[in-house]
Amino acid sequence: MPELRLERVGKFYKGMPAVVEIEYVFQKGIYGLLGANGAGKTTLLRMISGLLRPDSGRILCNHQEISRMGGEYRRMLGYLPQEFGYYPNFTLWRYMRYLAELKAVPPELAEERIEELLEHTGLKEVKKERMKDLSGGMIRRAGIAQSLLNHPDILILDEPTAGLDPRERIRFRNFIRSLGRERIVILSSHIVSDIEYLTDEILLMKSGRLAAGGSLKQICETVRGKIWEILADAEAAERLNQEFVVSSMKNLDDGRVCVRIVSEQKPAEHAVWAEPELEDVFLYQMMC
Amino acid sequence: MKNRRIQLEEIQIEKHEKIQALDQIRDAVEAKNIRYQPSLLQILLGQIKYLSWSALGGQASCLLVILGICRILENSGAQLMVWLGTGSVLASCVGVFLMLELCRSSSFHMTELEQSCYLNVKQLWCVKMIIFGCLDLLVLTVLIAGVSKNVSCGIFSVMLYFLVPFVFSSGLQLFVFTIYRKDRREYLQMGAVILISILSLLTINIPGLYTFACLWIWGIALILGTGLLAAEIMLLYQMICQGDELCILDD
Repeated sequence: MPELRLERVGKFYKGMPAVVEIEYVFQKGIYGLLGANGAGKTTLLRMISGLLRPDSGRILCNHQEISRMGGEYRRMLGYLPQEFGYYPNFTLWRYMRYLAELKAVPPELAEERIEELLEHTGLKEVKKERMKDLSGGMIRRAGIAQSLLNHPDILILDEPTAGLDPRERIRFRNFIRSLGRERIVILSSHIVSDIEYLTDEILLMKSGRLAAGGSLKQICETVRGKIWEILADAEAAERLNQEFVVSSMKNLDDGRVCVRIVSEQKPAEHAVWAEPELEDVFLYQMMC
Repeated sequence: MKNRRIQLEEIQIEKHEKIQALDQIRDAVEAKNIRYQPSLLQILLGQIKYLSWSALGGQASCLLVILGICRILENSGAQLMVWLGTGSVLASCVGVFLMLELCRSSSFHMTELEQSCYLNVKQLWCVKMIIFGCLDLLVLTVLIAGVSKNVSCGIFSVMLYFLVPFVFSSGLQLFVFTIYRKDRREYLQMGAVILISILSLLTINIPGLYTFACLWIWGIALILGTGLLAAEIMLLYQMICQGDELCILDD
């Protein structure tokens, strides 16, 4: 199983830092990159995929720099870009055959592999349809299928659940979950629940930096004592919402509102500590 | 006579050690990373299937047009300068189909995905350039042969006269392709072809340029054009390797 090591990796865009000195080691498992838009998630994933060269630092796969490994690294890689492209007039089958050739899948195995993946992703029935005629969800599933054509050891998925309806998202999440048992899966999302459900380790990114990293439990521990819950009436709840960073407001049956606040200080006399969740960590890091 | 055959001692097989040895061999075989490595020929043949029909059809039509025009000029008994002018315009157009194919390659957000594959964009475009380069050479050979048998200036001179507009037209189109990433880039490239065609028609108005004494000018122009084209290809490949432009190309 490969080990992927980021050593002080950095990237600038037009003089502005997009990714700043990120250090991390990836081994078998599912890793989630979480961050607001523009936090540097896609840039980092593009660097890990070998599409972008880091301006500083280096990325090592099994102690070898990936830029020097060239085709041998790409052979280990499966990639689903955020903006997933396709030739609109290709049928799904032709599209998969085309990518199987680019991924150097042996011709005698390619058809069987494509059949198997289309079966897994529920696309077997539409394999003769043109790509332009498939729905958004089907296209996304085709994206996942193509990323697995070469049995990759490293799978990189940029916003894999974007544009999927809730049913497809759940199906998709279960599928991805099964993939992480035998490879490194790195995925990015700004949907906190996806990251929470899917990943073994979370990398929280803010302004190109790694704000926090670790398992869900470890990440949540970083904000222990900073998450509060207050029961308030509607008017007071609105006041709290304006004054503090509120992660959720739940209307209760008795007309009161349970306000969940992220704050270093106790926000009110009757506020009580609450068990931290990933969404709270995300909000806390954004407000810091 | 007694039976003097040698009696061999029965070989003792250590069953446990045999199993162990076989296991070791099995492990070694499984650890061996056997990977499929397609040859250049396999890659070329594989990629031909996925080229756009419009580009391949265009190239074939171009060949037919050249044959047709040569026949018309032959029948009409055209003068030297008419042959050379027509040939120069046709030579300017020959390289347009590779550019159409490259534009298609970079038009559907595919470059980012293709760049992450074993056979990446750099190699893929290289394969396309080889395929279309060979087709261009075939079409140009037909054009040069067709014209040179009807004019008095010799095949080498005709080759120079036609290769110059071809190289400059290809260079200008590649320049447009490299720097201009917006939609409808194809129209700008057609503009580049028309520009070079007009320029080559302008040179026809200077008959002195098409004499043996001026052949060296054509030679220098060809070297210059080829150098520029090579530099542009290098620049394009450098941009792909660096990645920034490639991702912008896809954004």
